[in-house]
Amino acid sequence: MEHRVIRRIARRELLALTSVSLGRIAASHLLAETSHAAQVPIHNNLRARQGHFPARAKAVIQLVQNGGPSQMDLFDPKPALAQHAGRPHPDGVEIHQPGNKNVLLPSPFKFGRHGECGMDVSEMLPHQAGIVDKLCFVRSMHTEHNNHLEGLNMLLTCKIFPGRPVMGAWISYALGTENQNLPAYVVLRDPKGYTIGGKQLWANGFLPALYQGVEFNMSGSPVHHLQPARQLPPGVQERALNYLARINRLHLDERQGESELESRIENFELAARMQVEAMDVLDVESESPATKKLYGIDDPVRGAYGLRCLMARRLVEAGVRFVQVTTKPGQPWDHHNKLKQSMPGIATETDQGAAALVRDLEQRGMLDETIVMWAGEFGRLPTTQGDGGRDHNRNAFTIWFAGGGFRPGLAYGRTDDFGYKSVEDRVSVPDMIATVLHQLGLDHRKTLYPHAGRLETPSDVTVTGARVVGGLLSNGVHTA
Amino acid sequence: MRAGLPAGLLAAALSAAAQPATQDPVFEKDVQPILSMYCLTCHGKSSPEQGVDLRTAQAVLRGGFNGAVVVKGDPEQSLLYQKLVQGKMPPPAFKSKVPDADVEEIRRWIAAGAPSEVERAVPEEARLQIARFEREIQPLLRERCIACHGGTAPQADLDLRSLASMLRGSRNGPVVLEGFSEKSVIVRQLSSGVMPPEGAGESLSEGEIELIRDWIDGGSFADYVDTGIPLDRDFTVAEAPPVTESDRSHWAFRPPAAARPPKVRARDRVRTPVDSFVISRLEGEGLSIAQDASRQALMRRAYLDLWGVPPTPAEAAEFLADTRPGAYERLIDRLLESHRYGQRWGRFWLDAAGYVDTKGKDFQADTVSLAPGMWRYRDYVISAFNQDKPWNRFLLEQLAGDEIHDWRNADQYTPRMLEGLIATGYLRTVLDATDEDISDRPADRYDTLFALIDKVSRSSLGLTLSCARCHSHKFDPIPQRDYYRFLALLTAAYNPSAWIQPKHRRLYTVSQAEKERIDAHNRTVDDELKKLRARQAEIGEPYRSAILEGKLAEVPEAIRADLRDAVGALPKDRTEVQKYLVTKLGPLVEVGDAEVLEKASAEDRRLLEEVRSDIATWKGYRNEPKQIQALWDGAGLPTIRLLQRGSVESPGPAVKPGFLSVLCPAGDDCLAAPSPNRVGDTKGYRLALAEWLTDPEHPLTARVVVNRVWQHHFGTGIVETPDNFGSNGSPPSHPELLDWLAVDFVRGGWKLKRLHRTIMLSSAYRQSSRRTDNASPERASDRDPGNKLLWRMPLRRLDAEALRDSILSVGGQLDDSLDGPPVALDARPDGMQVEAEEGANRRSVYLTARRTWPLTFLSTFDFPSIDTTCTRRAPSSTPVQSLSLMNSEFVSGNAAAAARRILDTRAGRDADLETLARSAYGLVLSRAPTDEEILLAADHLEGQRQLHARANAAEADALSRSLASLVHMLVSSNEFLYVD
Repeated sequence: MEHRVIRRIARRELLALTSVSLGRIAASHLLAETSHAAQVPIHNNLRARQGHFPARAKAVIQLVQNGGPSQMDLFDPKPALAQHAGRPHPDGVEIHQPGNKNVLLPSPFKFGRHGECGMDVSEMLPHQAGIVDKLCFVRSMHTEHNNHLEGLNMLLTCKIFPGRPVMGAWISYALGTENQNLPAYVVLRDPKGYTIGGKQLWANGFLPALYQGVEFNMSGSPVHHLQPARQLPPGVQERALNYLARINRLHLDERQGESELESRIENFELAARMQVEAMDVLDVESESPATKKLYGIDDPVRGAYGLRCLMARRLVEAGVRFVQVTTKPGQPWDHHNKLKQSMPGIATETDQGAAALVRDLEQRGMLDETIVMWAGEFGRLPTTQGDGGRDHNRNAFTIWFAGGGFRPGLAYGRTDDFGYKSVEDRVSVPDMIATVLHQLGLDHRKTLYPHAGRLETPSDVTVTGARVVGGLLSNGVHTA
Repeated sequence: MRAGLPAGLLAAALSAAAQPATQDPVFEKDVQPILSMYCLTCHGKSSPEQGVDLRTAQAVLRGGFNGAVVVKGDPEQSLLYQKLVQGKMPPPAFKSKVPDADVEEIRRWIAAGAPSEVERAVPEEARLQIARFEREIQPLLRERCIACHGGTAPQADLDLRSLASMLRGSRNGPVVLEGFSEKSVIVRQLSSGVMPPEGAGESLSEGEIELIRDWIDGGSFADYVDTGIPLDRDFTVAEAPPVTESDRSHWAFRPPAAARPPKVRARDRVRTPVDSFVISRLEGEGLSIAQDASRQALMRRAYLDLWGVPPTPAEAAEFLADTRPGAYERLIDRLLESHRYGQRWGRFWLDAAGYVDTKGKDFQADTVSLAPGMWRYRDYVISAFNQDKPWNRFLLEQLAGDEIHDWRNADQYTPRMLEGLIATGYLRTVLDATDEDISDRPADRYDTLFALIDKVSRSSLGLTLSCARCHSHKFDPIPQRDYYRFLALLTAAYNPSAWIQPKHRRLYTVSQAEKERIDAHNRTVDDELKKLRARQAEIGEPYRSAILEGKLAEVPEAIRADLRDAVGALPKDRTEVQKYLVTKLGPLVEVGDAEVLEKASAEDRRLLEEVRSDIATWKGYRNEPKQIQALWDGAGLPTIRLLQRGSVESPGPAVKPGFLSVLCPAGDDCLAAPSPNRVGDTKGYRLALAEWLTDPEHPLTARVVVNRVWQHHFGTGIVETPDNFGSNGSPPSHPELLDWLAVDFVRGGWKLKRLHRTIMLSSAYRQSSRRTDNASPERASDRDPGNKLLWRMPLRRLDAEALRDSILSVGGQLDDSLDGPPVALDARPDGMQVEAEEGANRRSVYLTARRTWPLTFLSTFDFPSIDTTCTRRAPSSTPVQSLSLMNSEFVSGNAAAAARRILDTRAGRDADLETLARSAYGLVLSRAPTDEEILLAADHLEGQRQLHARANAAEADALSRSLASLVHMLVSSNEFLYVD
């Protein structure tokens, strides 16, 4: 069952996307309507499928940086903050939490210009500074909410409320995946716990549950229930599954044509294959010492995140469509206080792994076809909070991409002189989502799913007016 | 530097603090720096809170949505001063207070007539922005847009000829939001290519759109243009389009009318009127219904439908042995009488009610915060189903159970009073995230109201009203005005102007009067306890200090005195160093009660023991009132305004509470009056809503309920979209049947059990699910591949709860007891949510219902994450489900328990393989295996036994394990997972 048409979205809804009208068309006869109405194909399997136009990339690795990394302390230097240090911001800034002073705070960190492109990166991220010529920075991001949870929902679903599918779910839905023995969408999180937002960060929302992110554990069994809860002697499970297949076949023989029963039989077979393949793909022992060193996986500080980055590469190599890597529990980039003392921790833990991933993908010739994305949910204010900290700022933040046709060595967009607001070439979160989908060969306006009487899109384009940001792409925007 | 920061302002801000305030204060010099420091974070952006913009003197004098904030010369009448002097602003949550001297400065400024240096002057930056509009933007709009958006009747009332007319917006609200191009409708429409529409000229280029974006983002123009729109204008046509007779003619908006059940050819198959309708529809397509399912299949179907667990072998045997007429009817009656029925069907309504036990967003795996007593609402629902409470009463209690009793003045609650209050929990399960002060702002409060409307409309009304929050509904005749009228019905309780945070929305299982008595009683008890504790300390003190000195003697002398002081100090008075000492070394010198007792003299020991026993006794006298989650009206009624584009930042005209025009007769204003039946100090609008909704003539309520019951019996409703009976929902597959059922339901007293009987006794329900049991399966598959006409019974997958409960039942471990606080879930480090030990085997409906972290086994099988409501679950089929069945401890544990059950019966361990196979089939699938199945099962048992024996298991153990494996595979099989 390649396409299952579950809803007849009437032609009028498609029309209504482009017009405002209160009129209605009388409900037509049940059986007749099925043949006349426009049809939206609903995928309910993970088989690989074509996008709307040739894809530039086929996989995405999303490095989610919870907490709101400070743009003016990492990627977007603001000398004006030093000049006016200690003075009030003339317009006032939108604050979020107690303890704010409307007083400008210069970055405590040194910036340098790196690579041939001369990109500014602070001393916090020496490894990423070493690969700036491969990265495409967007300095003019902006978002809608100053709360972490809402900000993360926004970053991943383009809406601040829970209930919508995340990017990874939309992409798995639209494109399926290449390796049927592994999930389409894998999440690698810190085994110590969840970041704020938890499972909401990989929720399928209104899409079928098939498309939600599957958590892989970093030690022991990578997927829940991958191995039997009770130790079994050799051969017992194989034999049991053979028996199950036989009784399921007998059951099916009397119910010919029930495709759902068949697909469940297939799922048992897939589950059995997954038991083998998922264990293999996460076995990093086969990696060379040089690769392990590149990611720093033996380093007590950098190793944990480096290992997840390395796993992400192995998963993409094995044909997984979308891998999401989270940082550590809580919101590690959330520096409300003592930025100078607290930022080096998370920066050091994550810098090497992220940079190594880009280098490694390039060395293997995979970077062209893989989008790596480094992004937090919002940025931070130019003013002081507490003792040398910064509060949340939805008006400006910096993210970066690598590979997948994103223009390397580019710093796109600009913030104002204090880094409070994006002012030039502003990129909204829906724009960003539309652009990533574009590189995968998907037109965000045509990636559709009917829900609660509406045709939904990943960027909610009719409401957000999202557009593909051509300026970020070396291949330009596809025109049909 | 294009992003603001006019140089003059900067200079003013930087130098102001130094100016001595000798003469009358002037805004720019004296007041602006204060406001800039404390207020601009909320009242300084382009869309300031409550419309109050405090950036310039002109803006301050203009006031906010609710009127002026400064009255020249009169600080006492000026809201700005009042809020500051009363400490209400900045909001306490911000933990920053304007110093008294600064407040006094503002008072002086107002008293002096609020003077300003730049009265009505347009700053340089604004002049530049306005000039830029005229130079760069206006020509573009002239060339591309004003053919439609200009002239005497501009399209959508949007006139793009001038800056002022553009800022007035369209009939749907503003199209430009200064400073936020991405939120400006004009940019959205242009960049998504919606505008200009096809045939009306070329799209604007990226560069041209960028120009507009850039200008909007530059800001500094809206304040200096007079658009001349008063807040209290009339509704525009777009906000309140007329609802026509043709709109009212949609089938679901007309009251249901019961047609006579049609005559059919297959009269012998007509058991209830349901059959007449179903068969007639089939015969119209040249089709027929299938023959009856086997008694075994039908029995299992009925058990799983009504109870959510399969019959035990004994129950199955009893039914199959009952060959007298009416055995099936008696079975249905028996099933409906059991409390297991309410546990199953109550859960369906809990889905629709969006039931969760937790409060807030519930986003952390390992932290659960429960809404105290929410579970009483769950028990109320289950009990309502078991009592067969009439549906109209059930709905009324949930919407307004607090408005039908005078509980406020009751000395003691009657059981019905308490029940009514608990029932309003229906309105309390929506996400209300305002518990944190920081998120208790107008927009957050409205989010709760919006979620509530979404839930009530989709679960009870069968309409998706939420579209009309931002604009009149595009598919259904629901004006935006009606949405806010409907919302206003709920705002006496959820009052956005006098919000009660969830943590303060408290009622108890006892009346206010009784609560006060209990509190007084507890105070007496606490006083006594305090005395006893003092006495205990007094008697023990000499011993305690002696023991402490003994212990202190063992710590190094250098820190001895410090440590003594540290442990001696009250915890709140300890310095940082003392806290450190206590944390590090406190345990070394801790003196326990037991040690004191041991050291004490015989007499003191007796006294101490006496006091201790008294303390325990008195503690037992405390009485803890139990909280419930209810809703009730506050004192005031807020003014509710239509919100343009659904944003609290753009209020429109005021609305009065009311219903949906399309469901009222033409000419009726469709406004709600407080219900005359209200009792006590309450506004009665929710009761009016409940009475309107449960009017026997209401076109939707009964249809929505019978459709939902049908959906749970057949997998799909007569209307496939249970939450949308509007024109964009699915049309009914059997319109006359739906109406007949709805009318019959109301006539029969809104009783669900009667409805179940009508449906389940029909031939339509009793037919076989197999294609081959239909007389012409090829023709049927061809004419109606989706089986919408019911030419056979659809095969349905067990939902999550039925699957879990059935597996527990097979393992013989199901605890089906009623009521009580939810069973806790444990968050495991690997991300799984599992049942806590206590109550682990209770039915799934009693597990903690978490918004985002339900039991992993349940969510794997499509238990919903509750957003607002879930009216239909989409069953999925994933490899993760297969893995859970194959490998989880839950399934293998229950399979092993089932194997023990079989082996422990009289047949015992001596049974042959065939007997074991028969037992396993009977237990799991409620039927006898065929010969072929016996052979396969016996082969499996023998093979498994040998493998286990080879792995050195004891013989009995090998047998038990192989039987467990057989049960495990039967439980994992499609036959178990799907209802035939």
